[in-house]
Order: sequence, then structure tokens, then C-alpha cells
Amino acid sequence: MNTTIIQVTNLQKQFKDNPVLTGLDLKIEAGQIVGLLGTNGSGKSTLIKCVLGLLKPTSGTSTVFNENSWDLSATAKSRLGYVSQEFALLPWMTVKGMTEYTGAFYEHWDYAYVTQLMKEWNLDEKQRVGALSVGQRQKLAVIMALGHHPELLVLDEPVASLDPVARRQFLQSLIEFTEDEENTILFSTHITSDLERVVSHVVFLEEGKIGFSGELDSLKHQVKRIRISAEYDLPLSLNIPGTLRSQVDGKHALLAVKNFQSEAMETLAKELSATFTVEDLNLEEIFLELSGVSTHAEAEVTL
Amino acid sequence: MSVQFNQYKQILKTYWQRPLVLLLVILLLPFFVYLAVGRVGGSVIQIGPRPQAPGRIERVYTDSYAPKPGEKKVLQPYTDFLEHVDPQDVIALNLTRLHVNDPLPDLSPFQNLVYLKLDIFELTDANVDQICQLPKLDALVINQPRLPTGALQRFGEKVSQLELPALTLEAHSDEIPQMSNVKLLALHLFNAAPDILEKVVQVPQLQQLTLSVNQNLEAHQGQSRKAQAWDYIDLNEQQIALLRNHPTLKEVYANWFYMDHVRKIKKSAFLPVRALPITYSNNKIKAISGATFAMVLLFSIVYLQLWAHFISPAARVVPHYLVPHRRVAVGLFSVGVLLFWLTLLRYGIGMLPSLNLVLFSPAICCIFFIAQLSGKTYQKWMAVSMLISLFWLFPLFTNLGFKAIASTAIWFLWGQMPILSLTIIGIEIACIFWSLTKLSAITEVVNEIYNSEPAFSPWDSQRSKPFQWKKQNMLFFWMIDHGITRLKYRGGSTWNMVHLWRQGNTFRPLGVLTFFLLVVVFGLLFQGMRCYFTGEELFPHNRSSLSVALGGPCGMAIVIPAIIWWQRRKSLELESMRPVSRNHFVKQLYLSLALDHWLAVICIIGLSVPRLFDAPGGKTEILGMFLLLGIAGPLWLIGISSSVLAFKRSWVIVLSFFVLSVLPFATLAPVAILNESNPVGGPEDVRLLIQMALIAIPAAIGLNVLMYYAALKREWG
Repeated sequence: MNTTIIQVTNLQKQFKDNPVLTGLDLKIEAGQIVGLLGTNGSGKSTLIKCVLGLLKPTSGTSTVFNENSWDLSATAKSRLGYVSQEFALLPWMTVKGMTEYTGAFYEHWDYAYVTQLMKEWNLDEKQRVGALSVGQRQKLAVIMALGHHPELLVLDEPVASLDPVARRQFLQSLIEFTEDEENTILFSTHITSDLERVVSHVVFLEEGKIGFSGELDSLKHQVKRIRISAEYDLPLSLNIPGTLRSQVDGKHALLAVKNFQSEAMETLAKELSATFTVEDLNLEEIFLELSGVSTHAEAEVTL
Repeated sequence: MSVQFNQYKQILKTYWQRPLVLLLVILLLPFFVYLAVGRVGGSVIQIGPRPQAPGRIERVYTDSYAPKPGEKKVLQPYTDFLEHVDPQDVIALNLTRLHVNDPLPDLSPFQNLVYLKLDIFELTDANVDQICQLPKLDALVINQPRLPTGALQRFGEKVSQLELPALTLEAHSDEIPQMSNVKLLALHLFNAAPDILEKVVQVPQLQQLTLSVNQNLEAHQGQSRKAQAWDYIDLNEQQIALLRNHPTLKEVYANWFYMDHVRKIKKSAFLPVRALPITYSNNKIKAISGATFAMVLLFSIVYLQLWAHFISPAARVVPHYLVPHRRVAVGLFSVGVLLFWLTLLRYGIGMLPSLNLVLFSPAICCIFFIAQLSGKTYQKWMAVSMLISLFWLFPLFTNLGFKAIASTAIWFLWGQMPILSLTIIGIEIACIFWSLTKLSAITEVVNEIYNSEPAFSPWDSQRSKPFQWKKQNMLFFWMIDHGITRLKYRGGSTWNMVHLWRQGNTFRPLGVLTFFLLVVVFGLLFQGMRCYFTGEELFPHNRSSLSVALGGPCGMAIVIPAIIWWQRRKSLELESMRPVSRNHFVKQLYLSLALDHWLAVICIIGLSVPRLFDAPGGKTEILGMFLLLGIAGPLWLIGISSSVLAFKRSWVIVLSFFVLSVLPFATLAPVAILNESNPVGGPEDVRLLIQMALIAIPAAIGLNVLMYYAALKREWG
């Protein structure tokens, strides 16, 4: 039986007159690696902060390890690691000092593991944190989040400033992190190729609500791109259920559909005397289709 | 023309676009308001020299005295005094006759007595003999006008410092020419005839003359003899000439108000004798100290901005970039100097000396700044030692000469030494000018030496931040590394965690150092100025003035813990995820912040102690003061600082700071004004103090409770 690590029910968060999260439900089980996707301002960071108790929900509930997020116990916090978007560290400390200082708060801090990670990621432990580049600081923040072997790792855009090598190393460490134990990761990023490599599940945020939540494979299976070629001009509206985007140009059409059903497509093809091909989409393309960015971009080009 | 105007406008805009500059301006404004509308007189201290005791004065009475109910002080009778004090150890003694028939006690055991003050004793020939046989006696104060014949002459041959009623001189005027040893004569002028000066000038070796008003003047107003109103001096031409022509006389201290404002007699009429004031206003000294500190702020504003402009890449790329920036800086600085100069003129300080004072701290800062940027270690330390010696060591070594320095300083402040003033102004302007011309060269060197943009650059803050931590400043890093030790998990007890949180505070050791530097440098600067202008010792027996001098910088330094936690707050989002529950997290941070105030609290209490011992209300007043300054004050202070934990938005924190800082003064001011306009004195004042303390303590506790709960509800993300 799966253990629920994060449970969010009807979560709402409003900043003054600006509602960011509008009745959001989410459940993350132990062992899942969940990628959190959404456009800028869709509420990814707000959701993460509400889940961790850094922000107080306007209404609804959020629990982590079955504890109220707003009032997490020391035990619950010792089981989770967090890398924030801003990762403000103490600039005057050396890298070694910073990790030791963080470690002094934890009963089970793995100094050997931290030292190993620092070597692997080429961090000079004598250097001052303030003198590190943004990428180096991000590496340090990730190492500090892993030092106590958390059961839940929450990462809010942790790789934005990392170079490709460091990103690859980081992803490798995440894979190792989930291999041995049944650890859980909630991972927010805009680099979908990274997500595609590691995540088992995807949560897509749309206007403060969950647009999609499920396994990555399921998402890929559901969202497809369809090219239609007919003998005669196609109607402007094809009325295919779950259409995300439709571009009709005479005898040719390009569609992106959600909840793709091959039977329905075959029936339509017969009606229109047309042939169709189905293309798989990668996560970035799915993200663009789901967020409607493709439509807008093309609309702008057309105009 | 309009292009140039726009250019200057743009440069001016950059001043208020920098938060640090705005903060300094906010700090500067209260000083200007204080100097512009503050009291110019009042709160006087006597600076006219009187016989000086070389150490602690023992106060002894001829008999014991049973205190009445409500009275606290028990007088020390002579017999009891001798039981616990070895007379050989006494160097200064103040003897007071309690009953009319009490004789003068035997003084012969006090063989090391240097200073003797006799209150209300009618001296006999035998007494005079005994006094004159004290081998080391050099300073004598007598307030009873009647003396046996020949006593004045004998005293005058014995001591160099003498204080007595003017009537004594009148009664024994024939003995005055034989007062061969008296160099300092302090006269109480009550009931003295106008021709008293004709007698005084007969003292052959007189160097300093203090003409003071009798404190009992009000009580003796009904007496029939026509007396000169000696609360001010009114001398005719002949008397001025007598003083002027005295062969040894150097200084006359008196109240010159009438001569200045009614007779319009200039001080130069007395030369070579200096006519100096007998009292000096504390408010005047505070104004000088305030102006000096305010000018440090003004200089920092202008120089910081100028540095930021000169260090920028634009300074090297854009043609004619430096000149307009320099002009704007000089313009702003000149306006500031002019405004503060005008405020100082209100305090009766001469035009040239006012300018001296206003330019003093910028000139010193310029020398210090250039030395610090020179790159040569010995020059840096020389500048530091120069600053310290200027305000501290020099007065310390010349402690004995303070009276002379004070009289010269006051003479100087009156504008009576214009050539010296002009010379100093010239040096000050040269220092500032030199530093302004050197600045562009310095910034060029700095740019060549360092790869990335140095600090203070307004153009590339992201690049400038890492630069600060790449500098190879061993002392600086030793200082900050020294604060973190034994970084291992040591259990989750509250005190362990509090210790751990505090170790993470940026510049914690530097914060302490800054605190000490603020208190020591500016405390000594203010006290040093006081020494120069009043002749007071650097570490006077009465510590109250020292408390005031050090208390000002200490008051400024109490914001340091809040600033340190302000710097920390950005990382607290991440740190709030450490394995501590919300309640414990807030509790530990609050305790850490409170503990960071230990230095300020100790300083506040420590500086209050000398005042407490002088408290006339006895133990109850001490208790009241302790409750107010030792408990309510620090608690309120912690409450103010906790704004950085309780609130998230910067403007709310600043507003909270401002409101909570002003609130106690706004609350207590009406009480203080009411009390001043309707002085009660005695037990009523003490009762009011206790009442205020008893209201202030729950208020401070309440504030902390509110802040604590606000911090509990705070979102750390």
C-alpha cells in the first residue's frame, strides 16, 4: 500500500486581490518523482511554499507526512530537504563552513556524503559562499538539501543556473537518491528535458489549478499531434474531442489533442476522405500545447 | 545649457536612487532639526576655575545628625570618619560645621591634605595656625567672610588656589599685597562694593580670577547695604585698565552678558587678559558634537555617491564624465556645510570657528579615507592611530593643561583668534580638495588592480557582491571566521539552538567590533570636545558627563543587532526548514535576537550607574532608574528590534522601528514637560519615576508578547 507524502485539498492562496491558487487538489505518494510544470505566474512556487509551510493557505488544507504543513514538527522537517528558487545563503561563510553549519542542525548529517558531493561537483570548500558564481551556489544549496538524506526532496527550479555537465551530475544524484530508498521528489523546473529524464509523474498547473496530474507515460500517451491530409478542402472546425490546437489550411490540418482516441480519428478520416498520421510529443511540446503557448505564438505569426 | 541642466538633474537623481544614501539622509535630518530649533542656552556647567581637589573629597560633619523621616542621607561625623579612615590617606577634605558652637576639629593628623574646604566655620587664630601648618595644603575654600586679622595674608602666602567671599578681601584689604603665593583666586561677589576689583588686582602673582555670583543671593536680598548686582559684571574703563595692566593676570572668568549686550564692550578691550565666561552651556557642547557627527554623515553621503560614480566603467569611457559629478557633489556638500554652519551660528559661536567645526570631520574623514585606500599597510594604521590620538591620547597626555586648553578653546570659539581659524579652514579645505582631486586617480588604480567591479558600484550589483568576498583581507576574514566554532550537532536544547542561530549571523563579531568602535571613537570624540571646551578631565570624578558622551554613540549602536538580523532575514526562508517546529523556531530566533542585545544592555546599564550614584532620591530613585533603564528600556529595545522577525515587508519593518522608537518619547515628553513647568522635587519626583517605570515594564513586556505572536504568524517564504 502506498504512503501519502503530500496531500493538498482545495488549496487556495490569495495575495491581496490576486488569487494565485484557486482550489487545488494534489496527492503525492512515496517513491514518486513528480515534476511540477506551469507557465510563469501559474503558482508553482506558491504551491511549494504552501506545502512546506512557508506560506499560509488562504483556505484548504495541506499536509506533509500527515502533518499540517503550516505547523510541521521538527521530525517532519528533518525528513525533508528543500532547495528554494533564491537559495539565499550566508555569504561570509566558507563552503565547508556553510555545510558544517547546516549539518549542526541535523542529528544525522552525512559529512562524508556531503564531502563526496562537493568533490564530484567541483566545489572548493575553502571558498567563501559570497564569492561563488550563481551556479556554484545552486550546487551548494542542493548539496545542503541532500546532506541529511531526506525522504522528501522539494526543489524549486534548482537547475536554472547550472551548466549542462552540472545538470547531468545533479540529475544523476537525484536518480541515486531515489534508487536505494523509497524517496520522494517534488521538482519544479522549466527545463522539461531534465524532467523527462527523471520524473515518474507530472503535475501541470494551469491558472491556479491542476491542469493535469498523472504518470508521465500516461500524459505522453494522451497528448498527441495529428496531421490530416484530405482530397477536398477541410472544414475550419473539425470537432475532434480534446482539441488543444487546430490549424486548418485547405486540404491539410495540424491538430494537438488531449485524450487521444484512435477509433474516433479513424471514423473522422473516413467521413472526410482523409488520411492522418499521429506523432508523439516530447514533454516540452506537450507543455507548450497544454499551456496554449503554441497557439498564441502561431496566432501572432499569422497576424 | 538645457543639456547641461538635464545632466545635472540626472546626476542628482542618482542620489535618491541609492537606499544607503537615503538611509544616511534620514539619519542626518534629525541632527539638522535639532541644531536648527534646539535650545541654545541653559543646562550650564561652571567652567570658571576654582580650587581643584587632586582626588576624592571626603565630606565630614562636626557632629552626627539624626535624619528626619523621609530623609535618606546620614551625615558622616568627624569622630566616625577617623575610626575607619587613616588621616594620612586623606588628600581632600570638606568640613562642615553642623551646630553653631561646634569648633573646628583638629586638622593636624591630615598631613597629606592638599585641598581643604571649610563650610560655615568662624576661624580663630589657632585655627589659622593649624591650617597653615598643613605641609601640603595648596587649595583652600572658605565661605565665611569673617577672618582673624592676618589670616588672609597667611593663607595667601600658603596656598596657590584660594576661594573666599569678596567681603573678606574688603575687610582685610591691607593684607592683599602680601598674598604672594595665590595664582588662582575665586571670589564670591555677594554684597561686594563696586571697587572690589581695585583690591583684587593687588594680589601680586594672580594668574586666574573667577568672579562668581553668590549662591545665597536670593536669600540675602533684604539686606540694607547697597550691593552691585554681581550676577553679571559691569566694569568701567578704569577697572578694565586695571585688569589689563596686571603683570601676571591671564584670565578673568565672569558673566559678561551686560558688558557684551548693553555696554557693547569687546573682549579685545581686556587683552592681553582674556575675558572668559564663568559658565558654559551643555547644549552648546551637544550642538558642536551633533554638528561634527552630522558632517560625518553628510560627507559619507557625498563621498559614497562620488565613489560609486567614479568607479563605474562610464567614468573611463564617457568623455567629461567626472567634472559634472564632482560639481554636483561639491555643490551638495557646500549647501550642507552652509546649512549646518548657519545652525551653529545660533549657538553664539563665531563665524570662522563655526566653519572650522563644520569642516573638521569631513577633513579628518578625507585624510582617513585616502590613507585607507593607499594600499600601504603602515599608512592605513597610521591613519587609525592618528584618529585615536587626536581624540584620546592627546587630551590624556595633556590632562594637566586642560584649563589652559579650555580657555583657549572658548576664546577661539568666540572668534577671537581669526588668523588661527583661517589657517585651520585653509588646511581643512585643502584636505577636502586634495581628496577630491585624488579620488579619480584612486578609482582608476582600483579598477586596474581588480578584475571585477569593486564594491559600491551602482551599475552591476551582481558582480560587485562576489567581489567583496574575493578580497584577500586576512584580518577581516579572521574576524568573521573567529565567530563560528564547534559546528557539530549538540542536541536540540533551546540554548544550543540559540547559540547555533547566533553563530550564523553575518558579521556577528564585526557587529560587536562596530559597536565598540562607534562607542569608543565617537564617545571619546564627544568627551574630548567637552574636555577642550570646559576644562573637564577626560575621565572626570563625576562620571555623569562621561555617561552622556558615551551614551550618545551607544544609543546609535543599539540598532546593530537589528541590522545584523535584517541581513539574515533573506536566508531565513531556507533556514526555517531546518528541523525545528514553528514555535521553537520563533522562540529560538527571538531569544537569539534578545541575546544579541547583551552588549547594548550592559552598556546602557553601565553608563547609567554613575548617574545612579548621584541620585539625590536615594535607594528608591536608584530602584526607579534601574526599573526604567535596566528592565523596561532593554525590553522595549528588544521589542523594537524584533520588528525584523515579526514583519516581512521592509517598509513595515522601518515603520515599526520608527513608531516604536518615537512612542516612548512621545509618551514621556508630556510628563517631562509638565514636570519641568511645575517642578515638585523630592519624593514626588521619585514617586513619578517609580510610577513611570511600573507602567513602562508591562508596556515593554506587552510589546514583546505582541511581537512574538506576530513572528509566530509570519510567513517565512
